[in-house]
Amino acid sequence: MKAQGVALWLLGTALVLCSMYTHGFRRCLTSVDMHHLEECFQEIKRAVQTKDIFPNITILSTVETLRSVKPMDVCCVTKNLLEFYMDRVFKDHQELKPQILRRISSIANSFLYMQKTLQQCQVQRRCHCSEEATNATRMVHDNYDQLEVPSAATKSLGELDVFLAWIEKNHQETSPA
Amino acid sequence: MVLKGIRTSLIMWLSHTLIPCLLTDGVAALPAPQNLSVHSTNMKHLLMWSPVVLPEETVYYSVEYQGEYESLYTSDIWIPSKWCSRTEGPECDVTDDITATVPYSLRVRAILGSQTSAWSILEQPFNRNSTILTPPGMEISKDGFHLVIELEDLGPQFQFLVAYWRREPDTKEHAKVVRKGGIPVHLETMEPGAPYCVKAQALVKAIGRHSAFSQTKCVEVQGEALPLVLALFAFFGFMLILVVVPLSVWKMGQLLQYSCCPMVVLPDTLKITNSPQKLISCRREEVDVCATAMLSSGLGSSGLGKGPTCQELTAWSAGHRTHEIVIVAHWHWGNCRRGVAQAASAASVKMFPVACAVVDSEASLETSLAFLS
Repeated sequence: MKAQGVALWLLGTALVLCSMYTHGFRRCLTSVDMHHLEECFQEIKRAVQTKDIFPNITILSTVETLRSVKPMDVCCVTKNLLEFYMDRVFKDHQELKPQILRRISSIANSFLYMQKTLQQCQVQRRCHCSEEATNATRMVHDNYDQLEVPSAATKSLGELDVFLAWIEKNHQETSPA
Repeated sequence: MVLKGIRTSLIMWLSHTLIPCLLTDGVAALPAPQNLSVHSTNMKHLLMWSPVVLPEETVYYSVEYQGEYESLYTSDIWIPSKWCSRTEGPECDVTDDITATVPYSLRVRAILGSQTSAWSILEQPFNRNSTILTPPGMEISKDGFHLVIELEDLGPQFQFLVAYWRREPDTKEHAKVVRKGGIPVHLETMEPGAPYCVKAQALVKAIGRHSAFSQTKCVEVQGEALPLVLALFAFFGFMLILVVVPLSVWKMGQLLQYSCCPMVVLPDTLKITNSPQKLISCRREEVDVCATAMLSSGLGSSGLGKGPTCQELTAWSAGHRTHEIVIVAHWHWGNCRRGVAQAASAASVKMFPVACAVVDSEASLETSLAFLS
């Protein structure tokens, strides 16, 4: 009887923790229209990627960096990469053509909105950064520092489609609003 | 003392005249547009301002915007509006500029030739999540028995939640998400008897808000009267058939019976009650049988001319009651007349006994024996 009781209690706790964990995880989702962002990028893709003079180097799209991110680390990595783009890439990139400037502005402001929604999770302590997440972020920054600023910024801009696809994949809402 | 006074007044006069002149040259007296405001309904954002009116001059305006990102990270960058970098009207559709759910700063200035006014900035930055969402326009129609809804097309950012139910006690509400306006959507197949009611609300995922529900509209299909009438018709028709068919079958049967197998009763005069020999008085054996035509397979007649005598006939017929004989013999005392023979084929004539009758008088005798068509 006692053993049964203990087993049941353990099972119950495990279930509760699981639900809390998944519930918490699901909460940390951005509700941005990714389709609009991807469209935005497609319009400037050619103009940006042709200016990239180092085709053999990647900053963001190394196999290890993004694909190996665990579900638990998604919130942290997303937040860090958004910061990376807003603090470094968009600032360093000097754009003169109004058409391209408009679209970069659209993407940058959408990133700002995404970051705001993730900050709510952080306040609720649901956006924990593990060592792997921190390492992944640091790797991206290091890659960026390898190149000179204008080229690095251009290259990172060109890799936006990779980042956007990764966000869409990892931040899909499983339940309807 | 006096000279000092004159010098100061001269300086003052100069400053009062020259400096303003210098100042006004730079600004060129083109006033900046005032009273900037944004009116936003259903995710369509319209920047409006008071126009700068100059007599006989067309004043153009230039609009620029700055998202929250730009104001935080690159504060000196202002982006020219997509449609209003040079516009005439005192308003500008900035929907295509405001593409994120963050506060945007907007500014306008007037342009006249080479002159430009100072920038006039919107007091409060505008965030598109403050847009007014109105209940969507909704058209309900019935396509036969189908409930069809067509919603207003409000753009790609809008989805609709449609609620519909049958107005009857204890029926639950159904909900359906319609992803695009402007096209007819089938909701349900209706059944007659109660009206169906529909209401809809607009949803904008980008700002996480929804509008109020529209007015409920109801529609009903008429099906009651028609099926009832049809049912009555069908019932009566069926009853009619039930009665008429046996009747007609019976009648037909009777008709057929008459046509193919009639029950004809032999008249009493022709009935053979006694032996046929009694009926025949063969006193006048030498009477000429002028003409008898006998057609019968059994008798093997000789046809016209000499026919069998009366005795022969009677004897034969007694033994062959089942054969069909049709004879009409006409005897006439004295003058022989050819009798009229009427014959029928063996197949169609029924069996009759042969009867001969002779009238013992000088009148003509007609003997009809038996025949039937």
